[in-house]
Amino acid sequence: MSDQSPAEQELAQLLVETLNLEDIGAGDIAPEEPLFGEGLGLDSIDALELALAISQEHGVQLRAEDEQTRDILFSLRTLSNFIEESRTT
Amino acid sequence: MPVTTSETQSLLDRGLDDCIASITIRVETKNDLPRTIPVSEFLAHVNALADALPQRSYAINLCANRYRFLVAFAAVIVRGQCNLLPSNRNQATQRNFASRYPGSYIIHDGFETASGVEAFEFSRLSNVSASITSPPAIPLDQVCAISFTSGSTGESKANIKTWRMLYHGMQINSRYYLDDSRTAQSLLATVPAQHMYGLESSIMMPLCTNVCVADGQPLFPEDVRSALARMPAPRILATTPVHIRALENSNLEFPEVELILSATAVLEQAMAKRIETRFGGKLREIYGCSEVGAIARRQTTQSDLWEAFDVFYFSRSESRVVVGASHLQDEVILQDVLEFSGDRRFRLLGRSEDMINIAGKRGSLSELNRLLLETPGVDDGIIFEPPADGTTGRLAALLVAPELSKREAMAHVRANVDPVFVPRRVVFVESLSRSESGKLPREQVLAHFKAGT
Repeated sequence: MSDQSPAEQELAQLLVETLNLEDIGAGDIAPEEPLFGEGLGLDSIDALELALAISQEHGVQLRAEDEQTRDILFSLRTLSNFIEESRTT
Repeated sequence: MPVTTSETQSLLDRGLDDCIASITIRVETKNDLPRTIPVSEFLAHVNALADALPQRSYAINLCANRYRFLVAFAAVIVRGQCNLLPSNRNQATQRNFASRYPGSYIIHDGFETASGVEAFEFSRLSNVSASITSPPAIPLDQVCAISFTSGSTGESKANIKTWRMLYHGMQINSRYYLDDSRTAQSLLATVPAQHMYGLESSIMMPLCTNVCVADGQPLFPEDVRSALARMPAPRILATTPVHIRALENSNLEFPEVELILSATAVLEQAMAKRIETRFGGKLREIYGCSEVGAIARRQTTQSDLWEAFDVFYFSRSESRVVVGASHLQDEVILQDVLEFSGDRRFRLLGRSEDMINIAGKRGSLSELNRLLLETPGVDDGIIFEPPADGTTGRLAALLVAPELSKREAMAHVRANVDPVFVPRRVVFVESLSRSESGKLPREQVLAHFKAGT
């Protein structure tokens, strides 16, 4: 799938490597597909590992009190947008 | 609910002016945020909610905000109903509980609930009376909560909690959880209130000791840091090894935390040392299980021996350790292997072979393997715990399934178990060299695994 933006491609790669998703190619993650639950089937342990990888890679701390958690981590696209916004502010 | 004695115990043992919680969300239409809730106001919230609840027997308590959970938990009890505490919020789980417990409804604070299951949303309260001067009395034998031991498949096991078990249990426990239960302290918990450890540390502790609990359930290190920074010292953090590793690996500066409680899995001593240095406080591990609650503690930097709370007595049944206490209804067989050193001190040698524990959820390897082998297209295979590599301890699998992708091969397992039990690293092999009895020695499993990764 080529509808990933360059930032999304990079994030997808990080996600696949961090979480040992060996059978899923980074390019296979649809940008708007849910990452957790029904979609890729990730859980909160993954979220923590992902947060660590993102903070090391991009220097961005994920903040996700209450309802925001689900919004930011909903899909590759929402997460990528959040990282971009956090880096520029 | 069967009530066998008329003995009662009040809902809480706190001064009316003490702070029981600090909130960041609104539960009434008025008042500024964030703010702290004195016990008298909490009791008014409980009363108002209890009056509004539907007349049913069981409330599936899915409230995510910890203060709303606390109010809902207490209101359900005051109303003579029982809290059901599922280990996840999946809609399949909601439906399963609704059919397993006729006369149940969901109480939640703004969550998508399963269609066809009665739901009561508790976000804002109206008709809150101004002052409550005495806490309600709860029958000691009232079944107030049922927690569920998350099996890897099928019906999870129900663990009944009477008010006697919860309240007396926590009064005893608090002596071991805390060094001083009289001084006002602020508490933050990263564990869900629906988990037995979360229930004891973040719900029962504020009812029984001078603790003010924060209403959030922070996940990421930055959320933990900012929540701690909002709380007055002395601070307590109730958390788990999974969260502790994330905190330690973050490059954040945390406010001082006097006491860090850790449970659900064992923490290494080296990590405990780093955490004590980093937070400037004491790291205390709690050992327990859903059936009993907390049983023992240790300060990991000082000793590898666990100190059992003095109310518990232990015996042996074949190779298993059995624990009992006067506030428990039944004796409980522990799933862990304990080696005693004296009457009250023990080493934890591991779990019985079949049991796995991931992120505080308990499952059975043999059940997982049964599901794997039921999967069409899986000719053979095994799910197992790979050697510890310092990460979160996900399961791994060896598979003989030439026609399937990893995702296809795991579909049946995934559909039937909690996601934490779905193997992450999967190695496809041509065949598994089982012995005549069908057994697979662990060394061979690991050799295959090592060759394939």
